[in-house]
Amino acid sequence: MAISETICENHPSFKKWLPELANTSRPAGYVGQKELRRRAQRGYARYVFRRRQQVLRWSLAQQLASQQVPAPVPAATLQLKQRFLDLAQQWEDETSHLSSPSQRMTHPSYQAVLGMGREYPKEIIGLLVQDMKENRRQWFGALSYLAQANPIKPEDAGRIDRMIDAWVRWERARPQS
Amino acid sequence: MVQRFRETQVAAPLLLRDFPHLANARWRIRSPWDDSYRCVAWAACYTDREMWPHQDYWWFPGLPLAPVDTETPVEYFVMGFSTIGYRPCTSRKFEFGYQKVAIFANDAGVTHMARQRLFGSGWLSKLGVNEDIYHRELDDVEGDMSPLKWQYGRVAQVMKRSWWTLIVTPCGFRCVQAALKMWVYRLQHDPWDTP
Repeated sequence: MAISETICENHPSFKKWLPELANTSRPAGYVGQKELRRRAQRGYARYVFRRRQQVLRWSLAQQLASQQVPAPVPAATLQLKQRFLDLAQQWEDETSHLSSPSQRMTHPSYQAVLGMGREYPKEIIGLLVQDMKENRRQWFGALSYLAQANPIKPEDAGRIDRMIDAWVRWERARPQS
Repeated sequence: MVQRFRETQVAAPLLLRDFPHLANARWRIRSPWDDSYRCVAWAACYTDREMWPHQDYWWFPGLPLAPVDTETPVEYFVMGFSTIGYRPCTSRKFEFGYQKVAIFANDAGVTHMARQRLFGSGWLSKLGVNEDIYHRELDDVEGDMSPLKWQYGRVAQVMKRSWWTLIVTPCGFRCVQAALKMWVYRLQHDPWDTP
């Protein structure tokens, strides 16, 4: 150590460039301590921001995967659902006192739902089953017509709870694609 | 089974909208809102199923079923109720020793059935999924014959059976059971008076 210091101090070249170094301005890439600290803080903030975004994205993906948050629904589907719910409510209000299935099915709102079902069968079948499960409106005729199926066992005919369960099970087993 | 208690103040305006003749009649709500049975089942004293001569609904075993997209003639109901002892008759008035049911129809076929109370003081009607009501006369729930008015039309056929038939068939037990159930339900809730 002592030898090297001695060498450095006594070396002519050292003496030669030392004054020049003292007089020269700072090199182009040089930044001061304050600037370095500022840059570090900015970099850390950016890191924290990106990390938070990543965590948020990950938690959202987890929620979507576990279906805690419903997947975003396209505007056209929302309009279809709203239109369906309006028609269903009108049908229920005006035919809840009727018993004849054929007369309930001739109501204009029911026919409008059938028309929507012919245009968007997949969506409307899903809405019919969901509505039957949640609001217990009886869409058995429309479902049989649109789905071309009847999952109700003969021994369950007339038992509304079992009929609804049969359609809900059928809808779950239906291929979603 | 879903039952819903509705106050008379809530249910009555809705029922009066569909049955305007009730406005000038004496009638009373007797049961909760219940979607597990309708008028035909109530006429046959069932409260656990919906009945109609159609493949999706329960009907008397061995009898023909009507296609759903066409009108249902009165004959299907006459045949069906014959299996539990009823025979067609002409008078809608109370006859001692007999219980009666009335079949309503409009231009599109059968719409409704009402059952006479055992001792003849009025009729019992389940108004679709709405409440079961007691009304004095059959005219109280009659309405327009056009199917586009969504009303019950008029009485097309009355049937009767003897009390003895009622006693010896399970139907009598079911009637008593249903009456007791509704009575207990009415005791549990506010009394339903004539609106």
